[in-house]
Amino acid sequence: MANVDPEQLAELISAYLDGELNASETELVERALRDDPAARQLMEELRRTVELVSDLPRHAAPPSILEDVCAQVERAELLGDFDAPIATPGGRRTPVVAWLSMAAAVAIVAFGTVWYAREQWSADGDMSGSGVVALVPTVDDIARDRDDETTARRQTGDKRSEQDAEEKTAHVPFVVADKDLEKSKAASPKKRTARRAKEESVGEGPSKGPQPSLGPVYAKSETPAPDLATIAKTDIPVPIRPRASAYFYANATIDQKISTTSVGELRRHTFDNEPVQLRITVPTAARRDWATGRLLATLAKNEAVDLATGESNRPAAGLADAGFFFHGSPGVNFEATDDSRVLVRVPPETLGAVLEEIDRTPERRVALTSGPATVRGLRRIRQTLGMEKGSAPADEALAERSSLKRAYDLEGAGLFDGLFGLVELDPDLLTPLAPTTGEVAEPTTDSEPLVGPPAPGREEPAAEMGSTVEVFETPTVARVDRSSEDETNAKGADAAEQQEHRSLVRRRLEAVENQRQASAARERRWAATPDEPLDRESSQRPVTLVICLEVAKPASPKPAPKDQPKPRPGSESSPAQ
Amino acid sequence: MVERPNAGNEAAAGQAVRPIPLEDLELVERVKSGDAAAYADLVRKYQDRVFNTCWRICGNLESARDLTQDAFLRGFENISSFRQQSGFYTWIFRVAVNLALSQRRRDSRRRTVSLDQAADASGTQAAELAQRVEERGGNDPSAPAKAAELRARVVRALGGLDQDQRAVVVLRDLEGMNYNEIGQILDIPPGTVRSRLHRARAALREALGPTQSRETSNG
Repeated sequence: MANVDPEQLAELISAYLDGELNASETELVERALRDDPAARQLMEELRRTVELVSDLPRHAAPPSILEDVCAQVERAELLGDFDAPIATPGGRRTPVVAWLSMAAAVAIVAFGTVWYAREQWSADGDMSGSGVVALVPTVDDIARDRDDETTARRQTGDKRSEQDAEEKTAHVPFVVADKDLEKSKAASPKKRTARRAKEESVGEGPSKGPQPSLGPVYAKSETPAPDLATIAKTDIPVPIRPRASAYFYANATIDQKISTTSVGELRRHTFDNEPVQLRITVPTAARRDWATGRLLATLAKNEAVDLATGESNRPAAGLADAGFFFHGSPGVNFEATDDSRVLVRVPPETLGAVLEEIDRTPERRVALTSGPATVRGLRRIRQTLGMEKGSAPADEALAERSSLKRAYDLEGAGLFDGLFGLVELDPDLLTPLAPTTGEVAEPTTDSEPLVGPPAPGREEPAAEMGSTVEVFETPTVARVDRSSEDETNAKGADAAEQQEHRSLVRRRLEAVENQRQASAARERRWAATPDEPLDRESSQRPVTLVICLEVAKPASPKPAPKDQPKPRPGSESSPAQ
Repeated sequence: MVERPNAGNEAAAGQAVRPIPLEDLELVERVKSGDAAAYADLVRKYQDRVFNTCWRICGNLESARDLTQDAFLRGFENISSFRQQSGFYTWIFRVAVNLALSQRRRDSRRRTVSLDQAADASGTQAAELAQRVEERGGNDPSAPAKAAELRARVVRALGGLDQDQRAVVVLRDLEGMNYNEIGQILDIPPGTVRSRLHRARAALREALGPTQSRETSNG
């Protein structure tokens, strides 16, 4: 003890409490503790001090730590770079953050570009895209827009604009004031949703001013996808634009959800020259924004999108050479993108790079919406669908055009087949037509169908698939049911509802007949002129060809025959018997 | 006969080497091989301890939260350079403590650290402490208040230490690390840990002297 300095002894006692002394030091301390009351007092006080400190309460870590760390780690994982620096909570901007900021900036630039491009398109009255059916203005929208515009012009005294508005109204295919139609509209929540989405997309409330175009904002999740059954049941030509439009729907029912298509499976599909629209499932809005930035950056990197012009740089080839114009530049479809989905239109040559990006996401789920493709000119769409009516070619030029027409037909068929080829549909999985489709085809016999039967000898693209081809052309609605012979599917449908719907369609057709005749007159004048260039500026009659794949659950098993009544529950084992 | 303290360290003089948990080894390897989800398990396993250490060093719950998150993010950021010569636990503590000490230095340049903050934060645990006192058999209705006051004094005394001493005390007395681990975390030899800890405890004993004597007399 005599050799130990009190300060040193205190340190030894402290370490002794921690069990951190070697044998000789331990012996030294224990001897001191036995012999020296002051040493014992010191040890007790130190022990008490340690106890007080170690008794301080502990907090459970806030859950946000794990959440935030996991989110950041996940982000780094998605970037595919585990060594990537990560944003720190102190606000330090590390390279990843800087990169993401850059991606966000790219997204904003592209956002504006796409917005600008869409504005330009909307100025021409042609706006197609996934979800276009849900987002295009209704009759009420146009009427309201006109009222609003008129009011605004009265306030500003803009005579010229007023005249434009009148012309715009004149182009509205038809406006039917029909209680039944109103009733039908009231029963169509999807259209109300679409209208809401449109109003929200331009950032204005329902009572605000005119909305000539759809803004580049995300549609709400509730925005419905095109629902053919709803379209068939309600006031039909949803896409009422002041231009003629023909919608080509391919309705198929398969038991496989496309949304579960994996990236690997997607790679095995061929897309020919068709731009592919991919629907990427995202869990959160934040992820959506991230994915949007990544996809746009990828497209820009592959020169699929010229951010300065918004135009695709891909060379014209294939169908484009054959006269097709694919509407919409590659990029993110902001209108049809909501909190859980990102829709991106990708040219085939960039698809690999985009799939690489998608592959980095944890979800790795993409859905194909394919299309839409746009052909310019009413004749083009008819040629595409093989519905061109006309006499034999009278001269070489016409013969050449006729030859070209057949090429269009083939391309149209190829387009359609390619669409189904994307998901490798098993024909056995296709179910017969929905009953409503077969029913609504009948009223077209009351008036001359605008769309005639297919050209003799022409292979019908969808007939062998047992699917439905519906052709809508505003103002007149005509449908060609390729499988209408399957009338047995109408069984089980509500007969009264069908009858009501049938009469509704008939009244509508009557109401639009006058305007259709005027349209036919314009059509004749147009047909007498040579084919016009297919560029946007000179095309007077843009026609949109929209191909939609509707995925539905497989048909439910057939009910038991009526002559075999189900046994009542408990009828056999009831103790009362 | 002097009762040998049970400090939890069987080896002597800072030679103790805590075995690295196999689970940690596996998780780290998984993270390195690209399984980022494995890192969540590591975070989940150690976040409470890292958080409490940061809290007691910096004396502020909000800062502790940020520091903990920052530590784990930096850990992930540098996981590829972690060669598992020490445990992940030691490694992440080193990151966290260094961050906490750095922040403390920055804060001390700007302002005096408010120990009231720590006291306030600890005051939220009064009920917990009261329950602890209750469990120890105290029936004095004023015991919870006294315990809270005592704890506040301990927190203040802890805050009065210089940051190096505080870090040693927190890692040893709160976290239960041995000198060798503390040395690894603070990058100092075990002997320095021992002397630093001694000075820290002496300072605490002095600061808590009246309390200790009262507690001792009560007890």
